[in-house]
Amino acid sequence: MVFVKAQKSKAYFKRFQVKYKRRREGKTDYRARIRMINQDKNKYNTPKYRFVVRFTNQDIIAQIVSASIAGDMVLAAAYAHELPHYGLEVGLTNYAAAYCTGLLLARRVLKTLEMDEEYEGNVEATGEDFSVEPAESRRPFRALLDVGLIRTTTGNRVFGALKGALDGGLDIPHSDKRFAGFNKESKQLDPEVHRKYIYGGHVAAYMRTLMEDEPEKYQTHFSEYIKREIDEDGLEEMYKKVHAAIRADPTPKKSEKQPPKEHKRYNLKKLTYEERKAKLIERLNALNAAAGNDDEEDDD
Amino acid sequence: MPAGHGLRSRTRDLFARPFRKKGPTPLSIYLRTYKIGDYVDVKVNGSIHKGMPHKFYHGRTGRVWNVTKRAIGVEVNKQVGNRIIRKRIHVRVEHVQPSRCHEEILQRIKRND
Repeated sequence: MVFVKAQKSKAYFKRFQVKYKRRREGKTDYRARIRMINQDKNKYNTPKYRFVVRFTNQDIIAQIVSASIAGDMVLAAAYAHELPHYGLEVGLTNYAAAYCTGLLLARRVLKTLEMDEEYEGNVEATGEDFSVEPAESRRPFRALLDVGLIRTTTGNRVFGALKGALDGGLDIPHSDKRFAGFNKESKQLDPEVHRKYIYGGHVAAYMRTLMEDEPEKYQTHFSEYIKREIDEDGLEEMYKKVHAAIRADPTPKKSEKQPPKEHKRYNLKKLTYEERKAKLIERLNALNAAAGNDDEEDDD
Repeated sequence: MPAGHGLRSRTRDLFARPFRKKGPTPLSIYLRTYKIGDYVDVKVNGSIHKGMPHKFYHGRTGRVWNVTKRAIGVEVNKQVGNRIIRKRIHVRVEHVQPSRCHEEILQRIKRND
């Protein structure tokens, strides 16, 4: 039994102002977006690139995007689900995979802009803070990190992707405060710890503790690793190979897609303007013909 | 107590945002570019408090004479006494729209080329 007075009257709906669609969906922070997109007016049409990193439950999306009135234009994109081409098949959303995705995106962008010879970046991934130095001919490719709605805590995977892009050769203004391994007390980044995270050292440590303490949980949790016979000591080697493969050929691979299947139509197809006009003329002619016949019968 | 003639006096309705358009401003405002010599309309956006022109200039049209990092310099005509002065004001881009007063002439130029 509902005896509550109706709260939302017609007047309420008439005065209700909806938020922007992407705000209603909870996907875009417009306050941050305005500040990121705003380009100095005295730079006119110079594009301002954002390095966008987003995490889904099973994937990592890294893109270089510039904004325009028609919509955002993506210059290059890299996904974690492309990493199997480079030899990484498991753990596609961890810190090490984020590093690989950032690295892949950076090399891809530099290759399309033909800057990849000049800006090698940091080939050997130590955990230290690395910033690109400008070469003689062209200035490095500059982008701004766009984290979206993520809480930026120290050691977040977003900063793993950032490190990957930095080592790949992009110029992204940053500080090492939020990299994994930054010590709050001493206010310094410990490069050893960061290097461990980049090569999946934290995953390997967890594998070791699980193997000793709870072997059954180890079997279920790391079943894909076991299936591919990857053990905790081989992780670093695997990631080194993936980095090398990414630097060797970062171009995206086209996949073969079948044309979409034909489905049965359950509702009527909408007619075009010409079809509707033609139908009307037919109906009128039929009416006139029938009226003509009736007149003849009446006359007789 | 007397009414007072402060900078934003008598602007309660003039600077108010329209019905159901309050809150964040659309991003296309920030993506437009302006060159020197363009015609622009000055229309105040009450939710952006920086770089607001004086209420006199709301609804005026002028030409761009300067472009800075976040603002545009607009040259607007103002009648002072018995003469018209060309006044140069700086306005943030949120309070400026590209003017269509010149659009017809530009199209004619394009057609005749």
